[in-house]
Amino acid sequence: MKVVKSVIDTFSQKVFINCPFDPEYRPMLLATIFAVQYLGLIPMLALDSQDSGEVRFHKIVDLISTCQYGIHDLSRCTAEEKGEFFRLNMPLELGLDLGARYFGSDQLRKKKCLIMETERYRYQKAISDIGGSDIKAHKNSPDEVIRIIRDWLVTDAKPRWCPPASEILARYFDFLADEHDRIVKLVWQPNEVARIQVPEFKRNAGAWIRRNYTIIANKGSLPVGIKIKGSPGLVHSPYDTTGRVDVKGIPKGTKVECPYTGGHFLVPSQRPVPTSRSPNGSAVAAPRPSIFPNFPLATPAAPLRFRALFSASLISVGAPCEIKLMTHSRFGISLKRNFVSGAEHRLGGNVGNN
Amino acid sequence: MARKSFHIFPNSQGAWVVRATGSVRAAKVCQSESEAIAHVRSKSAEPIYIHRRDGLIARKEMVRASIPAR
Repeated sequence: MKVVKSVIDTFSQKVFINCPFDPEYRPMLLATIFAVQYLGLIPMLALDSQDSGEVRFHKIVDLISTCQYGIHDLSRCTAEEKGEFFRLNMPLELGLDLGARYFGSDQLRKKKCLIMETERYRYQKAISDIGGSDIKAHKNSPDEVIRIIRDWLVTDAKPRWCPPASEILARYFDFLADEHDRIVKLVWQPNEVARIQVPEFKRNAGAWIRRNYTIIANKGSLPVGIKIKGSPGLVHSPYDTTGRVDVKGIPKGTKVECPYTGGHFLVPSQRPVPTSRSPNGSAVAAPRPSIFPNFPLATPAAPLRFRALFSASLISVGAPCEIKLMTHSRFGISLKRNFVSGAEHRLGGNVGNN
Repeated sequence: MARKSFHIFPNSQGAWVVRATGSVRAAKVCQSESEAIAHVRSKSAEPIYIHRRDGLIARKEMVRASIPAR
């Protein structure tokens, strides 16, 4: 079965991180990963897979070809001590990324990159050919790394959620505190704390952001399901293109979960599909989707502000839905998913603020 | 992130910033780490996470429950 769109849909979500992996750089690498995830994008590193049977260069080429954005740090291009060799991995991968941009397919021509260094013009002594590029100096400070990445992604990637750098830094510190407590509870040795693997950190940070800031996680742009020609109402998941996903009756743009991988994607536009037929054989229109808030919305217990915001959310979404209030329900704030585009995360945000 | 706690970390000017978990703005800017800890302790007995200059956590300060005298 030929699938074309699966790579294209996640291409614009991925950020290739080409940074040193030495212990001195580790705090800045962790800050970079967190900042990218907090802005709703997916950081991709060569460390994501440590399969010894895979050639690292091939892995890097695959990563570069599947990521629209790239962050390159050239700060380890100088030897610190006499006799020490400087690292050439980062310039090599930067060259690959720039080469893909100039010689690659139409999709790869959309690639954008950020180049960072410790000091402002130091790189020119080693790589003067990129002297005309806009290179940022991070001064070996995680605060500065977060600020630079935020400013770049907000300008070039245009995420739907653009918090200030101070907020990303504050949330990064909150996450580190929670991670510290989690590790202490696991009775790890102090020297093992520093050995948490980068993919493990990335996975934990992503889960923490989704758990504590669902509004932010949902505001990041998501990949779109792949329509199947000749099968209206059925799409391929962008994460797993082998199986089909039934999205009949779900409005365009609704966030749904892939039943195969658990990943989230948006429903593509589709023609209205009749779901049943009348006794005389004519098509019957699909039933209008309904939304069932599982909380006592119409009772005095629901704050007025919340009710007003909920109504405003539905109006702004503009989805063809009818609202059914289930005043007897006591299941908290969970909502029947996949019915109204965007209503889910707006609802969660409003409840959280009350 | 359910528990209330505080973070103390050095800023780019070398001062020590006190910030409550969950907030963005600094609660207090002090000249030294000990002064920042004393400021938090004068207000609250909640845990304090002290960060290194690179942002990672150096240690966590808890108030130990006093042993009752016999």
